[in-house]
Order: sequence, then structure tokens, then C-alpha cells
Amino acid sequence: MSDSLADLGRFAEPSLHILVALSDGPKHGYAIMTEVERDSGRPLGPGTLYAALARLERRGLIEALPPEDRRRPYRLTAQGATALRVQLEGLAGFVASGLQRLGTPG
Amino acid sequence: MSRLLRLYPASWRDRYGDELLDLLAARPPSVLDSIDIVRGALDARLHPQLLRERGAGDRRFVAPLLGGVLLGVAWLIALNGPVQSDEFGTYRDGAAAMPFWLASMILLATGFLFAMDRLPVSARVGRGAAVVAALGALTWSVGPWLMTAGAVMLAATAVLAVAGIRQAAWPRLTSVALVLVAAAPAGYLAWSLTRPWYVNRLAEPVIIAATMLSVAAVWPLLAVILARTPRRPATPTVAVVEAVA
Repeated sequence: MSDSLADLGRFAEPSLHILVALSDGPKHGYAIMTEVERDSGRPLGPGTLYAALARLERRGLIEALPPEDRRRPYRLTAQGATALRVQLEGLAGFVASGLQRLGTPG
Repeated sequence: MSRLLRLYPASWRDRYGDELLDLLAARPPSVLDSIDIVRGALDARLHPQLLRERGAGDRRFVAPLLGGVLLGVAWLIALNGPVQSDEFGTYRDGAAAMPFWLASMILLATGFLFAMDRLPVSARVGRGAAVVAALGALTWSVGPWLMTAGAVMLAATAVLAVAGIRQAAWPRLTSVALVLVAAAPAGYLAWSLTRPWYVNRLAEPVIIAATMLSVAAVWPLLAVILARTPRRPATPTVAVVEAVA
């Protein structure tokens, strides 16, 4: 099973934000949505949120916990943490390379 | 808003419907949100495989189950081994049971690693205990007389089961049973280690039998936990175990 999010198509970016939102502990759908919107500065629709959650759950990157009333928290799995780390390190390398090419200001 | 949810497949509504309704109650949807829900419903209908059970076909519980059967075979052979005598009395030579004992413990160690994979990454103590239990089992597999390894394995098993209970993901009754059947013989073995070995050989047969039965229960209980806990994805550790097995 691939840990890459790239093949998730239009759900790749929301999925990455969701994994980041879950990286500091379990959260339910509404908390994930508000946190992703706060971090990304862009709205995350409910349909997109649950489509991404279903894909992440299917891949074993997140898992659902027992529901609390109607809310069901999700948490990162070990594989999800690994996948997130790989993604973030890839992005960090990309950012470092871009800044280096751009040159140091001043 | 529930009308929009009807656009989703029934299986999807069963799984996510309540959560989505709760979310929409907390934040009434905008027009864009409604459009997004329609797109989500279309996506759910185009990708029904997203909701298929991941656990289907998971047979990892077979490892400790088979290990338990082999343990029974090992004991059967050992208890019927040739009678030997020394200055402390007579005993059964169980050397012929060693291959079965070895295989049984290796399968149990494999089961511990599978169990570790069913704890979240945040359950560090439980996951560490699973590794210790697996190492203890592998060490004990070399010789049943290595009681220290057995005591460590059983104590770590109890810690692992407690972690499973605390994470609320493992079947509670089975996990509590695993704690009890692991902790009790761990305590007995640890205590018996303080005494000379020839005294242990002469120990009360009922206590020995109870300890053996308690230890034997670890295999099937671990198998039940693996069978009833939702499958988690293969971590690198488990991938290596599966590749070797």
C-alpha cells in the first residue's frame, strides 16, 4: 500500500491538512474542519472532508475511535504518522531548494 | 439538509451520516458547502470500494492460535517423555518436545508484533511491551528452563493487554483475561526464581499445573484479540515478520 498522497487527486491537499490536524491528537470531523481552515486559510467543505477521511481510513493512515454521541474522533495511525513525516520532509526539501535558488535576500 | 445526505449511498450514510449531520448542526452549511456535499455524494457513488471492510481476509490471529496448538503438542510429548532419574528423584525427559515448543514461542512472538500493530502510535508503553514480550518469547523458545525470559514475557504481556484496554480498542473482557492469565504466572515464576531449581521441581503439582494452564491461555486469548480488533495497516515491522513467515 502506498504511503504517498499524490494519487489521491483533488483530495491530496485536504488529506495532508487532515493528517497535520490529527498529528497532535484525535479529533472529530468538526474540529478537523475548523483546524484545517485555520491552518490553510481556505474553506474545507463537508463533502470533501468526509471523502478525504474515507480515503485516509481506507489506506490505514487514520483510524476511527468509538463514537462519542454522534461525533466520532479520528486519530493518526503509525503508518499515517510515517506517511505524514515523509510528506512534510519532502515539502521541507522542496522549500529549502526553492529558497536556495531564489538566493538569500539582502 | 438531511435531504442532501440522501444523495449518498446507504452504506455511506450508515458509516458517516450521523457524523456529517452533527457537523452540519455545529456549522450550518453555506451554498458552497451544499455544492461540496453534492460532489461528495457523487464521489461516494463513484468509489463504493472506499467503504469495504479493511479487515476482510485478515488471518493474523492464526499465528498465536497455531502456536497454542503446537504448545499443546509440546506438552503432550513432554509429559509422556522417557522417565529419567537423578539424585533428586525421577522426571520426564521432554527433549523431543523442543521443536514444537520452539515453533509455538516463535508464533507467539509473531502474535505479539501483530498485537503491537493494533495499538496507536501514541501507546508507546504498550507497543514497547509488545516488543519486550516478543523478545521474551524468542528467548524462552531456546529453552523452557529460562524462567526469567518467561517471567519477562508474561509481565510484558500483561502490560500490553492493559494498554489495549486503556486505548478502548481491544475487546475488554478478553483483554482483562489476558492481563490475569499473564500476570499471575509472571508473579509465580518471578517468585520461584528466588528459590533453588531442585525445590521448584518438587513444588506443589497443583500450582505448577495451574501456572501451565494460565500460561497456555495466553495463546488463544491473543488470537481472540487479533481476530476481534480491526486490522491495522502493515507497518515496516509487521511487513518484515510477514515476509519471513
